[in-house]
Amino acid sequence: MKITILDVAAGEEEEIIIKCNQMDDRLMQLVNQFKRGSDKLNVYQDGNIHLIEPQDIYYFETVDQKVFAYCENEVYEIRSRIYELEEALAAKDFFRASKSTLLNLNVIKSLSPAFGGRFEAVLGNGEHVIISRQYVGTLKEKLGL
Amino acid sequence: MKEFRQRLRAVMELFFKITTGIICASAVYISIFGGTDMEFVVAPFLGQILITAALCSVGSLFWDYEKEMSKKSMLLNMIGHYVYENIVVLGCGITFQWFYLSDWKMLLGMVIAVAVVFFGIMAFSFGMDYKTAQKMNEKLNKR
Repeated sequence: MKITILDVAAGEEEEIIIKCNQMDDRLMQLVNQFKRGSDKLNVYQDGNIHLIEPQDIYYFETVDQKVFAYCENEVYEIRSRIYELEEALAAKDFFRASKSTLLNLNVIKSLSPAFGGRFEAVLGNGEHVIISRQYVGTLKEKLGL
Repeated sequence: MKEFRQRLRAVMELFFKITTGIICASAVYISIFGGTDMEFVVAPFLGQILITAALCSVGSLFWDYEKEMSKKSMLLNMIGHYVYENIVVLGCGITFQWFYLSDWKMLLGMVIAVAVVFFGIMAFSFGMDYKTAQKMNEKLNKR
């Protein structure tokens, strides 16, 4: 997608123009994000669209090329790639726990070692998530170690 | 390239751990089974240790702990790695004539030595990870 940014004169209203053949999900998500002016995420469950705050999400996981957002009790589908979410939510304490998982640091209750240099995170809702050896460094950095 | 350097670094780290373990186990082993002509044994033995440790370390390239896998797969991975280490050490032991297959006590001693080094390294790594987990939990609690 080509992005063009034009300077406007002082006092002139700022404007976003989208040129496309068809409004797909990703574009709709972007438009909604601009309209909302907040960081809420569009998620899907049983054909319904929901808006949820990123901090309410415990982790994201890719399963069969679909990305799911796991909250305390609910699971939603999200139509973004995991790397896009990683970039977008890095400032909100989300970090890569494995190639397929993006974990919210704020919901981790405790950590314990698993074999092979991996760690197991126990989340606030009692779920266990494995942190791969190659991403332990990122977690330590996030914790200031 | 970065990934290869990381893997190479992991192999080198393992090499040093295994070398240390093997030297310690060998010292105990020689003191039990070694003869009196130690000066003829020790010199070539150092080179043999390095070859054995290098072969053991190379095994970590095939049993990759960086891969994401289930607990069951991880366990199978570890068992496979342990079998590989046994084959390497026992193979080197026979080649370098550290023991004779006909003497079951020597063979058993070697198998025990491999187990001690392998599980010793595992326990050491687990202990280090446990300390790291404690530090991370402290940081989590402070948040």
